[in-house]
Amino acid sequence: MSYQKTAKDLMIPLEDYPHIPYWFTLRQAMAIVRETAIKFEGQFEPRAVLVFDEKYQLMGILTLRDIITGLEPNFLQETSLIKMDPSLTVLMGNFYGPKMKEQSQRPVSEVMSPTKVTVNAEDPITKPLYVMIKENVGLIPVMQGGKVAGMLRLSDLFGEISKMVLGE
Amino acid sequence: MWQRLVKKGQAAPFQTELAEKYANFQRLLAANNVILALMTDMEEKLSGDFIFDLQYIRASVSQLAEETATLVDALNGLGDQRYEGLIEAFRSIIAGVEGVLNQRREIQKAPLTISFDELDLEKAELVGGKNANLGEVRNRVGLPVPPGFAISTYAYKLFLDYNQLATRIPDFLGFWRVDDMDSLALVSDKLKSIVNQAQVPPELEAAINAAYEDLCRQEHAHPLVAMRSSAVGEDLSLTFAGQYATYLNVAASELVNRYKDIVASLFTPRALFYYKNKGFKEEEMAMGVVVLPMIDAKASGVLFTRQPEASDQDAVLINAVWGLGKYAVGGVIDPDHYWVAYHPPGEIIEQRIPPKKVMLVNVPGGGVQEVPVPPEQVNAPCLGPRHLQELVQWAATLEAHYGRPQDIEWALDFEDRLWLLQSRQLHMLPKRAPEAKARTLKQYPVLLDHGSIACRGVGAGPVVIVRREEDLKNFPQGGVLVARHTSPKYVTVMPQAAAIITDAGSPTGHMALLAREFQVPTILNTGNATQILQPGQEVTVDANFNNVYAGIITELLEPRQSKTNDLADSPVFRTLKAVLKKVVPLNLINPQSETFTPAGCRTIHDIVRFAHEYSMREMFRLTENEVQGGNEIVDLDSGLPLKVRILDLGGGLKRGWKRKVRPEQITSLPFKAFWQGLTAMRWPQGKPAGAQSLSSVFVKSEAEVAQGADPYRDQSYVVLSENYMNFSIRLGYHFSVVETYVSDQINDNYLNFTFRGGGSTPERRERRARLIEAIIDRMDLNYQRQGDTIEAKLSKYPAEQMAHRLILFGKLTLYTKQLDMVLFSEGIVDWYIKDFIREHIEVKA
Repeated sequence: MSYQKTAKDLMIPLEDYPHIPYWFTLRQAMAIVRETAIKFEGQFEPRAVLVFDEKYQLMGILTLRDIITGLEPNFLQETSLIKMDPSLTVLMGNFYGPKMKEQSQRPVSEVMSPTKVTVNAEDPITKPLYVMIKENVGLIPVMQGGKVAGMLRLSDLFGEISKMVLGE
Repeated sequence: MWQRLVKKGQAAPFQTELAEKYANFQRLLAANNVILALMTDMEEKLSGDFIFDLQYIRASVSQLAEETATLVDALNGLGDQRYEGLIEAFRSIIAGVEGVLNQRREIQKAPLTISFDELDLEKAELVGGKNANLGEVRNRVGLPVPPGFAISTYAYKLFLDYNQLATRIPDFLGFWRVDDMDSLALVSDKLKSIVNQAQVPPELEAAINAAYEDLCRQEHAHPLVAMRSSAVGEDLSLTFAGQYATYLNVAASELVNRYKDIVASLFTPRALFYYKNKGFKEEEMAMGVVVLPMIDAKASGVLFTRQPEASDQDAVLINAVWGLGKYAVGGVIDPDHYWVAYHPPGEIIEQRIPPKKVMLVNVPGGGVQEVPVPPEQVNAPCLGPRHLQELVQWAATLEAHYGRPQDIEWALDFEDRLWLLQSRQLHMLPKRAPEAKARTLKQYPVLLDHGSIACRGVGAGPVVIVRREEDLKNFPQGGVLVARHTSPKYVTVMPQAAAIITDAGSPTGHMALLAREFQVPTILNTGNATQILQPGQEVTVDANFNNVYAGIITELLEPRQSKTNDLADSPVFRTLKAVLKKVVPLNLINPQSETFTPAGCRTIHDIVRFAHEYSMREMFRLTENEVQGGNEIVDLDSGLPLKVRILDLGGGLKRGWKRKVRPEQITSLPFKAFWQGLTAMRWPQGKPAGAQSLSSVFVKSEAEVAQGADPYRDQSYVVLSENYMNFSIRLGYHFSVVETYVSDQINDNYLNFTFRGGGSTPERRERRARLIEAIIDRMDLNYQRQGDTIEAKLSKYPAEQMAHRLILFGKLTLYTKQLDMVLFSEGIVDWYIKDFIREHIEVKA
C-alpha cells in the first residue's frame, strides 16, 4: 500500500550513497561519480555526491550541476561570449584548455550546495515530495533520531507515483 | 608506549640516554661498513689479480678483530648488554683465525735426495717448486727433461739443525729493523758467512754424492751438472723470481760447496728484505736444490705459452740465443724473437732475427765462458721450422696439463734434440680494470648497461624474478636470479644460479660477499632490472662489463683463458683462504630461524649480520623503552592540524630558545623528505565558514571511533638526528611508524614503514590495506601484511632514492587518511591506487 509508505522506506542508506570529505577536489569527486555509476551498473545513476566533515557530519551535497559550474567553463560565466557565438561552436575550445584542469583542483566545499531542508524518517512520502518540489531540490536527507540516516531522491518518489498512475 | 615517553613528572636525563644509544648505533654502522669493506678486500685478493703478503693478512685480521670488537660493544651499548653472548662468539672466532695465522708448517721428513723419476707436483713441499715441476713435466706430461735429482727441503732442515742455524738465523734477523738498510747488509753478510762456514752434515754429503753416482750410472758418463735453487714458494711470487743462486757446469767435487752457496742465497739482502717485510716464515723459505746434467747447448731460450700482455692471442712467444740460455734472459744480447701460432702449429706470425755476436758456453773442466759466435751463425736464426713446431706442441701440451700459461726454459743439444729445463707458471700482467675499457657488444641487443659489479664473470640463462622468499624454492639450475634487493638468503640458490642481477645493493654488502664466494657473476644497483627483464627471458649477463644482453651469447660464454692465479698455491694464499673460511661464510641467513642467535655465530660475517639485524630492532624499540619525559622535547609548529613532539638526538634540528620549532628549523635529512611529502598533500583545512553540519548515522564503527574525539588531537612523536628519523604518526585513528636512516653510506641506509591500521568496517579496512599494499609494491619495497598491519622494508638504496621513497611515504600517509570516507567500492580503491601512482610515482623527476 503505497500511501502508507514513509520516507524511510524509499531512502537509500547513507553508506550506500557516494560521499567524500569536504577538502576533496572536484577531480576526486568526479572519479567517485564515475566509479559509483560503474558499481551500480545502471541501476543507479548518481546525480550527486554527499560531502562530510572529518567527524562524519553531513555538510552538503555536490550535484553534477555543482561540479560543472565549479569547473567554471567560460561560457557559463561570460554572457557576452554567448551573444557573439550563440551556437557555442567556437567555445568548444573551452573543454580542451588548461583552465578546466586547473579548476578541477578546487575543493568541493567551495561549490557544494548546503543542505537546506530535511525530512523525517517517519514522514509519509507526500512530505518529501512537497518539500522537494517547493525547494527545487532532487535529493533530501532523511533524519532519524536527530541524525542523517539516508538520502531520498526525487527519482525514487517519481517511481512510486508512476506505479500509482500506471496502476501497477 | 609513547605516552610513557612524555609522562609528566621529574625531568630525567633520558635524552642523554637516547643520545648515547644513538651514538652506539652509529658506531655500530661505521664498524659494520669497515668490516664489510675489509672482507670484500680480502676476498678480492683471492681472485689472483693482486699480489699480497702475510703482512697484509695480519694487518687485515687485526683490523677486523678491532672493528668487530667495536661492533659487538656498540650493540651491547645499544641493547643494554643484552648481547653478551656475542662477545664469547667473537672471541672464539678470532681465536680460530689467529690459530690459522700462527700455524707453523714443519718441514716434512723426506729422503735427502730424490730422483726426478719419483717427482711430481705433489712433492712440491719436499723438493721445492722447480724440482716438482720438472718431475711433473717428465713423469706426468712426458716431455723430454734430462734425468736428475732433487736435494730435498728436509736436507735443508738437516743442514740448519746440524749447524744450530734454525735458532741463530731468527736471532740475527731480530737485530735488524725493516727501516735500517745498513744493518740489513750487515745481517745479510753475517748470515751468508755463517752458512758458508757451516758444515754440510756427512750424512747429507754422502747422500748427494750417492745420488750423483746413481745419475752417472744412468747416464753412462760423469756429467758436469747444473745446480739451481728450488725454494718452496719461489715460483709463486714475482718478488722471489730469480733471486736465488744458480750454478752452471758444476764439477762433481764442487757439489757440496755449491749446495751451501745456494742455501746462502736465501740470505741475500733482497731476499731478506722480502722475508721480513712480507711476513714469510722460515719454513716457507725452505730451500731445495735441482741437480741435473749440464746440457751442451747449441742454442737455448725461453718460451711463453702466451704473450703476457695479450693473453687472448692464440700464439707462443719464443726467445732464442746461441749457446747457454742465461743470455736469453739476461739482457746481454738481443735474442731471436719468434711469435708462433698454435693453429696451424708452428706458423710464424712474426719473427725478428737480430745479430747475435757472443754466446755463453760450457768450459770443459767446469764453469762457463763467453765466446764469439762463429760468423756464419751471427745472423742466422737459432731455430728452424721443425724446432718451432715441436716447441709449440710442448706449449699446447703444457697449457692443457697445467690449465695455465707457462714460462719454459729449453735447450737444443748438438744432436738436435730439444730439452725442457724448467717450466713454471707464467706471471701474467694483472688484468686491467674493466672500467678502463668498458666493452659493450653492439651487435647484440643490450638490455642493461649499468650497475655495480659485485662478482665478475659471465653467466647466461632464463630470468627468474625473485620477489619473495618463496620464489627461491624451485629455483632452476642455471637460472639468472633477478631481484629488487640483495639478500643473504639468496645464498641457498647460489650454487645453481648462473648470475644475479638486482635493482639495488652494494658490492660490499653481505650478499656480494657470498656471490664472490660462490663465484656467481653478479651485477647490483641496476635500478630497474626487475622492470626490464621478463621472467623466463633468456639473457647473458656480462658481469665483467656491466652488460646484460638478450639471448644466450656463446661468444661471451666461451671459456676465456682459465684463471691465472699466480699465487693460488702459495703459503700466503692458502693462509688467506683458511682465514677467510673463518670470516666470510654466512650461517645466519634467516632472522626468523632458531639459530639466529649469538651462539649460532660461527664467522665474523655471522656476527656482523646478527649485530646489524638486532641494532635495527633495538633502534625500532628505542622509543618503547622505559624513558621518562623531560624538558628536552619541543613541539613542531607547522600550522597543520598535526601535533608533533620532537626529540632531537643530535644534528636533527636547529633549535632556538623557544619550545616550538618551525619545520624549516629541522635539518634531519629523512624528516625533511618525509615532511615534504606530507605537506604536498591537501590537508583538511579551509572549512567553509558558516557551513551547517548535520550529524549522521554513518558507518557505525567509524562513527563510534570518531565519537567525541577530535581526530587530530592525537599526538605524534618523532625522534630525529641528522640521518635518522623515527616518526610515530597518529592521524585520527590511523597509526603508522616510519623509521629510517639515510646517509651517503648506501650500506647503512634503510627504511621501515609500519602501518598499524585504523578503524572502520572490516570491508573498508581490507580495502585500505589493499591500497597501501598496492602502492608500496609500486614503490619497490618488500612488504608483509597481516590483517591491516603492513610492514615494509627497504635497504641499501642511495640517499636520493631513500629520500624519494620518504617523500612518497609522506604523501601516502596523508592519502590513506584522506580516503577513509570514500573506500566504498573495490572500483574506487582501484582508481585511488592508479591515481596515486599516476600523480606521484610515475612522475618521478
